[in-house]
Amino acid sequence: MDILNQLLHGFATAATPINLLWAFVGCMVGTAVGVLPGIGPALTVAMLLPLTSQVEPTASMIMFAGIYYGAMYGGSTTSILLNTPGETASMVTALEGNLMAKHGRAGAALATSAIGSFFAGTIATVLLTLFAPWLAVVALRFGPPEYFALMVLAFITVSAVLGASVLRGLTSLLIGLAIGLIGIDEISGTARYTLGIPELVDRIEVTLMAVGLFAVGEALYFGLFEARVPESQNKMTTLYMTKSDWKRSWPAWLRGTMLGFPFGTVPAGGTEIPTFLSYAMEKKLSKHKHEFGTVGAIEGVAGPEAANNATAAGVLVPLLTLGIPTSTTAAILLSAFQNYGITTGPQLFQTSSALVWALIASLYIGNVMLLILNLPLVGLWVKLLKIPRHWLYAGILVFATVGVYGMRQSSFDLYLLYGIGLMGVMMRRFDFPTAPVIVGMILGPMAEAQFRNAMSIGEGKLSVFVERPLSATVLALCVVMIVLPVLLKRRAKRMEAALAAPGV
Amino acid sequence: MKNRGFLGIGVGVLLIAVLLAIGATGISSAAGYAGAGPNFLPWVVSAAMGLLGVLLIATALRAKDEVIAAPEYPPRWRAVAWVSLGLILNAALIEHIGFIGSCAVLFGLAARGFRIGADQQPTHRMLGQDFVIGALISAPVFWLFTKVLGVTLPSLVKGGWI
Repeated sequence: MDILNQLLHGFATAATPINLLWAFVGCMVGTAVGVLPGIGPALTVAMLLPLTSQVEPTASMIMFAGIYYGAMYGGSTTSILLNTPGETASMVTALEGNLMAKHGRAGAALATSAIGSFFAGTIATVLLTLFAPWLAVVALRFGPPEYFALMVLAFITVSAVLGASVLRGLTSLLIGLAIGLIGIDEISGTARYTLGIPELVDRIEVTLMAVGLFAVGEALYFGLFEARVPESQNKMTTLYMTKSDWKRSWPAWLRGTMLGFPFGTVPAGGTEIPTFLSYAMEKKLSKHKHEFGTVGAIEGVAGPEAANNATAAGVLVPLLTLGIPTSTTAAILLSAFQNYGITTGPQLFQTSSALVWALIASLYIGNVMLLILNLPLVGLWVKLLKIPRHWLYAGILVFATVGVYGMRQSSFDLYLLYGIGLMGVMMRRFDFPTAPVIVGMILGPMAEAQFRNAMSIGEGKLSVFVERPLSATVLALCVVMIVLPVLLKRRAKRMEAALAAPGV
Repeated sequence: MKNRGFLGIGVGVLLIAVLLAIGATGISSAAGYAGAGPNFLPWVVSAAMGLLGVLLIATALRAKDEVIAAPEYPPRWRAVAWVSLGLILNAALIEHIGFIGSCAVLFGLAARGFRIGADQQPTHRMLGQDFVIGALISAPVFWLFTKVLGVTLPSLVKGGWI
């Protein structure tokens, strides 16, 4: 009953006209950036971080949450109608969604993904409501060694498990950690790697890094390689879903939700794995297997889309209860909390309970707003796709300036932004993932502080990490996660070699 | 040598590792009870980056084919040059001619770069048009963020509307 009570209080805060307005603005902006190619929720929230110095925390967190959820809705519109997916999360939706659109069923695909997003988003938010306060209570018992172990797990999964290559993922992570080293050390107050430049003493802003990699890097890469790629847009059709569409969609929504939420909650973030799993599962269970890869199967859109949105809600669980971000957007939301001086972690539910519950309540409200924004108004969003790319990317650069300059009022940051953009182009060209850089630079200093506090507890002995059962287990899991993919790859190679050997 | 770029990244990572190590020698090691002071993580990061740098270099040298396949189209540096010019001028001008003016320059030059990247032949007329569009976009953005949301952005006239 306690949870229900607090949730109702949250609704009371979130439903004031001004906060509803913020939620609405967030949902609008989120859907727009989800639809527009080349711009995503992480970048948008990063560009809007300067607002944290002016707008009160509840209002801005409600808006950021709207952007986060909205981008998940909008992303599917682009991936169904264009042949280039807007977000990585909607890559799987694009597989069947695109085929459906090519065969004149764009409307049904858009409808099942919007309703599926609503369904999954709402159920996952209910799960978040029930699960997060409980986990926060459990997490109160964690000490620095446990936190350090969990953070290492987040590092490993974000960098080594999700990407195409462990080596490249870890390199990105280390770059992020190195950037996180710049500035004042949290525990001792020592300045590190500041080279005497005053701007570097108060650390490199995450806005600068995210905007540099995602906006400037992306724009330069577009000009360099991608602007010549021809694009085709599928035709919009009626949103009407037949009875059989409904019958095939709802079990897929349910399965996608159940698959997506747990994947979001464990520090193994990212939506790629659950959406792919959901796709594979739907393909296996479907009675219409012949439609997969030919005319497009509706359950192949419904399942992954639900999984995608449920994962997005799940990611908020470790963020709000442990203060551990497992995706880029979560990392940037965390830095928004930091800008307000709000300490994230299990105590968040006690110290900032009004804020957290208003945030959770706004997720319910946001889902309803998004369903309305995305079903009847989908035609409006489709028009956004008509903006010529040269203006779209030039406009993104203008907004990048707002975010970066607005943060610290320093033109030094704008030069640095260009340098980071060039680095982004190189990383993109050689397929180095960017998410570990952002997660590394935000989580790195926190992990270091936990590590050194844990070492103080253990009186300078590393054994403190293995003497406590939970931290030992988590750290062992980390080792397995790094070693296992390498071993599996080696085995696969050996088998390939054996098969290719003459005489077999 | 097919993997020159990839090799370059490996060398770069190794170089950063060395620089981090040089920097780490100057950081205090006062550890107190913890046994790990402010210079502990810098050394760990430096060592790990050194190892990764070596592994990246080895990958580049040992691979017979391209490690990462080149994009479908060859790079068009002329497009990047225009966008870069826009970004650098923006950084140089913003505190002198204000947000709207310098972002109009950025928008115009960047749009020209992207047009070149997309195989268009931008005329001077288009460039002029793009500057105007840039100003028309930047102005409301400037007013929204400074007048409504209270974010500080530079203006030509202190505290003014342009």
